[in-house]
Amino acid sequence: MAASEPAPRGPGMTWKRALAHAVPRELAAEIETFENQIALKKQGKLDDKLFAETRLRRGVYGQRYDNGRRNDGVAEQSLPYPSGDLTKGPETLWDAPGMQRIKIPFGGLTAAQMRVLADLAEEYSDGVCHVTTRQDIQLHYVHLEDTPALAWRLAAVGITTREACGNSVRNVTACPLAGVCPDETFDVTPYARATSRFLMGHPDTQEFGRKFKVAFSGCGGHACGLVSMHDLGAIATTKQVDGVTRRGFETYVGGGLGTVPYAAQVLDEFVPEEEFLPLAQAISRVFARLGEKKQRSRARIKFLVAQLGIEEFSRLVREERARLTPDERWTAHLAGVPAETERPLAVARPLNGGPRPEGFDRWHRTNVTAQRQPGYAVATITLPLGDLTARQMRKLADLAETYVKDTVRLTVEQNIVLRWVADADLPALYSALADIGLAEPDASTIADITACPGTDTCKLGIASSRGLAAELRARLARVVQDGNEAVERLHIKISGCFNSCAQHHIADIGFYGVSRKVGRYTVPHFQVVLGGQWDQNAGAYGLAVGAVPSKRVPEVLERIVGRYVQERTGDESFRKFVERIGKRVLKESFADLATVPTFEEDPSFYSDWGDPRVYTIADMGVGECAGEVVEVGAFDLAAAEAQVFEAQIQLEEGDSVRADALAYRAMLLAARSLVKQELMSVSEEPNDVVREFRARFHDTGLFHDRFAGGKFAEYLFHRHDHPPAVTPDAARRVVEEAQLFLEATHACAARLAARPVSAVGGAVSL
Amino acid sequence: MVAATDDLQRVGLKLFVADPARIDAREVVPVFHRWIQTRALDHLLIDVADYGHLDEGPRVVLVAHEGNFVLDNGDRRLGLAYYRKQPLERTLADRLLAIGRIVVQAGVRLEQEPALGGRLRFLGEELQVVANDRLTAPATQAVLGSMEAALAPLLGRMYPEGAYTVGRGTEPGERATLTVRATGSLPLATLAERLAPAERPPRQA
Ligand code: SF4
Repeated sequence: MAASEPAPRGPGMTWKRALAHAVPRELAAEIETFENQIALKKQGKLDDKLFAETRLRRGVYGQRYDNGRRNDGVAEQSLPYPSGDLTKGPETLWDAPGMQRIKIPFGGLTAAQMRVLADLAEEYSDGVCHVTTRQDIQLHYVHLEDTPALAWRLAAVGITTREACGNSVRNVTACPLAGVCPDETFDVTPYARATSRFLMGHPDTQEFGRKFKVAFSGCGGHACGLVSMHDLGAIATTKQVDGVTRRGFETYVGGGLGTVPYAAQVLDEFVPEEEFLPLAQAISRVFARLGEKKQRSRARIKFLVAQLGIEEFSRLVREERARLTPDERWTAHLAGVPAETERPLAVARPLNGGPRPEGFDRWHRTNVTAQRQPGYAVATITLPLGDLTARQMRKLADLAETYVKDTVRLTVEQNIVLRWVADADLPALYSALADIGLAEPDASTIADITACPGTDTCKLGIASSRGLAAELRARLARVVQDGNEAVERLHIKISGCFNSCAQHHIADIGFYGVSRKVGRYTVPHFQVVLGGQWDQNAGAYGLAVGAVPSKRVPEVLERIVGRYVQERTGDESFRKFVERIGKRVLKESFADLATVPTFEEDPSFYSDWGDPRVYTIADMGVGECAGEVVEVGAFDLAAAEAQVFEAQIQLEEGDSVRADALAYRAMLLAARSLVKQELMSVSEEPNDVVREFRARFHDTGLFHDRFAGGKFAEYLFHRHDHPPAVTPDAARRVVEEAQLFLEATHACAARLAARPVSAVGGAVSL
Repeated sequence: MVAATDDLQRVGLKLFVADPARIDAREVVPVFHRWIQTRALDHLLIDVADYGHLDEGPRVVLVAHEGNFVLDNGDRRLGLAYYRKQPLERTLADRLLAIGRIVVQAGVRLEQEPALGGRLRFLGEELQVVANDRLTAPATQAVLGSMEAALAPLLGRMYPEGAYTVGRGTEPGERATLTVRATGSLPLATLAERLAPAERPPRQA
């Protein structure tokens, strides 16, 4: 039976049987193995941790509340699932719905694939497809036992979920305009595809201590590939060799956002195209061999590169490369590269003076980009919060078939682009998109906010990034309408926690979720991050300037943007403006908004956007127990906050040594604020503070974050045990780490305050 | 003989809102959260997903283990849908009856929510039934016919006078869908009464 024939359906049929003919043998074997592993786990024959990593490598993630507990705003409820204590990983209940991540290499989709994604969202999820910042699709509320069926259906249209999560090579991303961009050096699509295929399941990529992300960019100037924030990044470049133009890649390693961002470093300014895959293999081997395995928080390749230094890392890679046994897959794809260009469906025709539907001009201004090929354009579908419904996805597949065929791509801004639209077809396409609710304008503007799942579904979420993004979107659409181009071009990115999945470090204005204890309550807050750079492949990272209550963020944003509009000189960019004005001054302009009214004055501050529950009410019911000591701690913690902010200012002013010293001092102060809860007489001597902190809060696990473990405490220990940082990069890292250490201290203080008197750790010793 | 849809478990059933302009879907978010707090439904209620930013399809989802309750704007018609996820016993006709009861009861409860001030009303005379399983029940005439037959007992209870029509959805790519329209207008509370399980006769002394 041909792959295109409809699968047999009906009673007693399974997707496996129905699609056996359409799934390549290797993929089928993998899915069968996963099915068997699910069965074995259900029978209790597989270890929890092992199964967790197994399912993660198939893109099957946990989701918030999957430990069977949920705070409903009044009390913590247990969720008594029918399978009881049966788990699918540590603290992850079998029946609890989870998230399915689906890797889409370079974001490229065909109409047939879009239809299957739509079907899966309807049948196994909640009817919504979510586009991620790494060109994946995510489905939420999926049951583990449905995941094999889902995998069969994806495999039948050429999609695998293999290595979508876990300690593996994640989705290989690339510019969504690759092949049609007027500014690109050459089309990176075939190289991204080949890299994805070559590294997936490769024996040399199976022993990583953490994930490994690869990105391709067609040029160095724009943001589309975001190469600087990747473990391995490649920017297309050419070189004249013996009078012949050779293709290659400026190759970067060791970048990454996460809690503490690292800018990737140049490994090689020109890696010839035939050398890229062996180089990627050699890098993988070095990472697998020398990368940290035990301490997850330092296991990304960025730590290894920073620790070894780029020269030594590069030497090791070259050594490894020399040892590799030649593999024909290194170059097999190159023969097809010249021919691998997309063919337009429609003949190029200009957008003439014909009638334009209402709203078309605004949409055209923000959502249409001229292609390198005359007469064709790329149309961007703006997806609010990266979401589209199953039906919209299906209808969009129909439109793709009508206007462009299989030239659809997902973008890192959580949108979708249709490439190769004949200019003359744009009005009709716009009308058709409007019919299915997908003709929103404002793509890539301040209103096109990127947000991670946050507290909606992510287990690590601290604040509602999506709720805030929805609120800001609604308010900012007006700003774009007003046509202030400088403001319109700003990028806002919101992460639900410090992990930076929404890439808040590279936004003009970024936010990440934190919490603050106010009286007996915990209040959702966001740290404001300023100074990041989206262009130049994520050219610079912003720094947190201060936390504000979640409900005040719109006002804070208004003030920051307001000042930019008022005080901008010439065509000064926002980043330059922040540099000129200074973070201290900008922070002062919203300092009054950092306060939180009492619960009685305004309870709305105690809920997050879009979620009416009182925020982490489990933190209530505090014994009078820790009241006093927390007050003492809070005082020191406030001093620590001031120090870390000053550290940022020093960093900005180029005094790395002072920035490092201040950040270190801030960590010591914060640690001391906790120690004082048990030992009021602790001295200020760093060795004393660290020793007491280690014994009382680290070794006891009191300071440990539920998910990150002792990672934040390690920041203090590491800095305490090492000489001061003197380079700007190293100092910057210490400042970032100090900021996170302070956040962890806030969280720890809140946890302590919630404990009954007897559990706080005995009497306070004076 | 085995009917085409005997194995069908994942069924969706949707009621339509009478006057959608009077209600903002997001008003239902706190209501669903409260339902979780008070364990208002006979389901294991897990979470609320807010898709108020979407124009079409699900707007607010009350996620439960057994099935999801969705304030749904599919086809740009606001309604309350219930999508069953976990299997139910017996025949498809029995399952449809059970699912009908679940969605109608949830609808009545929403209508009575004080926070919504009586602005949310459902049409008792219109209903959509979706086979949410393209493997077991693809959108063929055979499947639609078999679904229609299995739906008859539920419709018999809902509209005992038999004054209704059933339309078949055949849009390419979409799931097998039946649309039921009864004549006249019917409050949802009446449907709920009609669907209530029969009282057991009192025991003889
Ligand atoms: S940034 Fe935090 S909340 Fe957002 S998806 Fe990542 S881990 Fe979750």
